[in-house]
Amino acid sequence: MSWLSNSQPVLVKELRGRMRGARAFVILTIFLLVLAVPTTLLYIAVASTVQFDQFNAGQTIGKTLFLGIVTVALIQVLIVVPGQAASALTSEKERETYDLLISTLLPPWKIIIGKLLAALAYALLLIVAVIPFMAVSFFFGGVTVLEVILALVGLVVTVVLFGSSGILWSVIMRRSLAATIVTQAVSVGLLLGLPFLVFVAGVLIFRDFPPPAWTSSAPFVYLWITALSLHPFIALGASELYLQQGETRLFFPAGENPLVPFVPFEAGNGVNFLIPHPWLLYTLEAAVLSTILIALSIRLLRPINEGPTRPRRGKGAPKKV
Amino acid sequence: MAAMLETRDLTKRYATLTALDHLNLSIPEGAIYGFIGPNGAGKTTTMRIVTALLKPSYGEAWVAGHEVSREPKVIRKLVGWMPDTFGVYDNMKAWEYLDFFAASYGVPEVRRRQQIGELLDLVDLGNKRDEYVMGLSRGMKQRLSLARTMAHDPQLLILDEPASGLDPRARIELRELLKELRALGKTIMISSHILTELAEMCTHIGIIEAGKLLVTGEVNQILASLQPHRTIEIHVLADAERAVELLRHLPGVRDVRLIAAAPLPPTTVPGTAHEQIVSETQVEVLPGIVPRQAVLVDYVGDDGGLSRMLHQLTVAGVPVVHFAGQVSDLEDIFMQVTRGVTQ
Ligand SMILES: Nc1ncnc2c1ncn2[C@@H]1O[C@H](COP(=O)(O)OP(=O)(O)OP(=O)(O)O)[C@@H](O)[C@H]1O
Ligand SMILES: [Mg+2]
Repeated sequence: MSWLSNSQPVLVKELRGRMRGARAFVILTIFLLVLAVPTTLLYIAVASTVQFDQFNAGQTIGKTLFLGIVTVALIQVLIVVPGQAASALTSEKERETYDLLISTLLPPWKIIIGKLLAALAYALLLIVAVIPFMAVSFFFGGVTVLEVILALVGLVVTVVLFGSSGILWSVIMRRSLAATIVTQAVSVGLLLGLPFLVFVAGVLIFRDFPPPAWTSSAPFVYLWITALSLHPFIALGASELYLQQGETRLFFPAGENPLVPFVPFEAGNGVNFLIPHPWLLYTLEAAVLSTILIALSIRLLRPINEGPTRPRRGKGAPKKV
Repeated sequence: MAAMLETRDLTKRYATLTALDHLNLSIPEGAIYGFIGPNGAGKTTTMRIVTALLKPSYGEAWVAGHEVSREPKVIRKLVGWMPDTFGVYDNMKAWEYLDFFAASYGVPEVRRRQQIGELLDLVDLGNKRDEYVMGLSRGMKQRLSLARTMAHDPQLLILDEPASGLDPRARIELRELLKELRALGKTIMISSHILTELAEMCTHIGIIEAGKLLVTGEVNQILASLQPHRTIEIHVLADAERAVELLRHLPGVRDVRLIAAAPLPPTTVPGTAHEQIVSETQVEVLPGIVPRQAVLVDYVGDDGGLSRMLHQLTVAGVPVVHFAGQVSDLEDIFMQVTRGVTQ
C-alpha cells in the first residue's frame, strides 16, 4: 500500500473514493445478482431438455452455463466500464480540480494510467468474482481450462480497450455527460456498426456463386478476419467454435477447420495458409488499439494549456468596479 | 534582496482581448505581495502564467531564477498555488485530500503521515482530520486549500483571492496565518480586489488594471508618494453646515465634504470601510438614536493643526462626537490610481 500510494496517488485516491463504505459491496452484489438470474434461468431451461440424454447431461449444462456467464459478464463490463472511464477526467474539470491535478509533479502518463486502472476497478472486481461461477460450470464438465483462461483474457482485454476509449474522450471533452455519450456511441458503433458493415460487405462480395477467386487469397482473408476480430463477441465466439472443433493451436491452416462466415471461403479449395486463432487476433488488435488510445490520452493531457480551456462560469462577464 | 518572482513584459492575448499588457513586476524574497485590481484586471491570468498553467503570448517570468515556460517542472516544485475556486472531491476526507496532493508532489508516505498533522494544525483544522472535505464550511475549505498549497513545502505561495467569501473573523485569522507563513520563510503573492483587505499584512503591493501594472513597490513608499493629504472624518450631531463653513477657512484644509447620514463610529467593527456599511443601515432602524452627520476634510498639515481644528469646532459649539483620520487611505490610493488610467 505504501508503495502504491507513493507511485500511484491518483489510483489510490480514486479507489479510496470508490471503494468506500458499502458502495463497492452493493455494486458487486448487484453485478452478481444480474449475472445469477439469467444463469439460473439458463440452467433450468437446459436441465429440462437434457434429461433424456443422461450421459452428456453434465457436459451440456456446464458448457451452456459457462457461455451464459461469460456473455452476461461481457455485456455487464461493456456497460459499466465506458461510463466509469468517460468521467475520469471530466469530473476533475467539473469539480475544478483538474488544474490542480495537472499542476502537480505527476507526469501525464501516471495520471492517465491511474485513472484508467481506477475506471477498470469495478470491472476487474467483477471478473474476479465471476471466476467461482466459471468454476461451477467447469465441474459440470464440458468446459476446458483453456476455455476458462481464454474467457478471462477476453474479458480483461475488452475492459482495457473500452476503458481506454472512455479515458481518451474524458481527456478531450469538458463535460462528463458529453464524454459519456461519445464513449457509448463509439462502443455501440463498434458492437453494432461493425457487424452491420461486414454483413453489407459480405452481401456485396459474395453475391455470386461461386464467389470471386480473390476471396480465397491471403490478403483478403486476413483483412476480413482482422475486421471481424475487432468485435469482442464475434472474436470470442469464433474462438469458442474453433475450440469445440478441437482447434487449440495459436496459428492453424485456414482450410483445415472451415468456419463460415468467420473465414469466408469454402473449405478444402486448396487454400492452406496459416491464420491466427481469433482470440489471439482480438487480443493483439485490442492491445495495439488500447496502446494508441492511451498514448493519445497522455499526449492530449496538456500540462500547459494555451487557450481558453476553462469555462468562465459563475462570474459572467467581467465587470469593472 | 533577491527577487523570488520577476516578470518581464509579460503579455497575454486572448482572441481580441489583451488580458495582460507588458507586465513588469518583481517580488523580493520573503515579501507578502498584495496584487490588487478590479475584476478582469488580469490577476488570475498572471498567476496562472506564473504557475506554468498558461503560456504567455509574449514576455517571460522567473521564479527564483528559473524561467517559467522553459522549466515548468522546477516551477511546480517551487510554487504552491491556490486557485480562486476550491475544487472538492466528494468521498474524500480532509487528511486524504492533503495526502493525495502531497503524494502527487512526490512526498514519500513516511513524511506525509507526520506532515499532514502539522499542516492541519497550522491551519487550525486538526480536529477535522477525518471529516469529509465536502462537509467543511467555506472558510475551512479555504484553509484546507491553503494547507494543500504547502503540501510540498514550496518557497513561493501564490494565493488567488484567498479571502473572498470569508467573514471578518476568518479574514483576520487568514491574515495571522499568512504572517506565520512569512515567518516560516515563504514568499507570498496574494490577490484581491479589496485593497484594505491586504493593506495591513502586505509588505509590497502592486495595483493592476486592464492588464497594466499601475504602481508597484513597498507599501510604505507607495503610501508616502501617493498621499500628500490626509482625510479626517468628523461626525457631528447637528450644525453640520456651520461646521463645514468653519472648517473651510482653517489653514491646511483643502476640501470639505458633507455626507448626510454618518455611519456609527468605526470602533464597533474592526477594519474596513466596507464592513462599516453594515452598521450604517442600522442607524435608521434603531429608534431613539440621534442620526449623525459626517464631514470629510482633506487636510495637509501636522497634528498640531488637527488639534487646533478640533478645538475651534468645540469652541464654536459644534457637537462633535467623532474625530479621526480615515483608516481606508489605501482605498483612496486605489481609487486615485485607477481613476488616473481609466480617464
Ligand atoms: N480563457 C479565457 N478566454 C478568453 N478570455 C479570458 C480567458 N480567461 C480570462 N480572460 C479574460 O482576461 C481578462 C483577465 O481575466 P482574469 O481572470 O485574469 O481577471 P482577474 O483579475 O483575475 O479578475 P477577477 O477579480 O474577476 O478574478 C478578463 O477580461 C477575462 O475576460
Ligand atoms: Mg481572478
